[in-house]
Amino acid sequence: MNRIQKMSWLIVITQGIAVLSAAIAVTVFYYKIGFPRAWAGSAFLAISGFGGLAPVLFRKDPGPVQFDERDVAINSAAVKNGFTASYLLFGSLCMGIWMIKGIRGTIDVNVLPMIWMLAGITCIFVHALSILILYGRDKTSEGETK
Amino acid sequence: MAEKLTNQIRRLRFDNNEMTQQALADKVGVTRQTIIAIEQGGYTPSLVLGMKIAWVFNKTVEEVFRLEC
Repeated sequence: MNRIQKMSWLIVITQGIAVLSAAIAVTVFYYKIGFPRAWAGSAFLAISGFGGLAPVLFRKDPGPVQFDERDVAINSAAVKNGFTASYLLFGSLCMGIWMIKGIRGTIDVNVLPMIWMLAGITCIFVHALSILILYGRDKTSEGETK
Repeated sequence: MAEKLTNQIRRLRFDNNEMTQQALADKVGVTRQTIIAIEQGGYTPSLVLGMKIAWVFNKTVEEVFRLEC
């Protein structure tokens, strides 16, 4: 497993925990104190910030080459997947609200940054997940030395 | 029609004093993971990388790689 894979694992795990705990917190707060104060549970999303420590936690791989043409190809595909997923989610949420509320409907302005943040988290999560899937496809991490 | 690129890298490494994957990777300027992926057919290398690998074994690209239709 190379450094990029380790970093991707950390991002997937921290973001998974962050989103899950935020969803649980918002649900619990909703039943206890109701909206809009229940949105305070989304503060658990800050856990995903630990993913930013990945470059510090994982040192460079041994050997003279750190990043080659295959890594570039995998990263490019992962970036495309991340952008596509976040754009689709952003578009779906925007159009979904429009379809549910109707042409003259209104929404709380607090929803807008939440949609923006959700799109960003989705982009990073799908990017990291794509890297793990694309590297794992050919099982290179378990290859032989000779 | 499915096309598959096969290669003789593994055999050529053994024929060249049992060259390790890491040694080949260092010579052509890629990571060992990439050499493993190419050997297993999981990654199709660029033309430049393919030529570099062939040069290491003193062979032509056609002797190292073969396109099967």
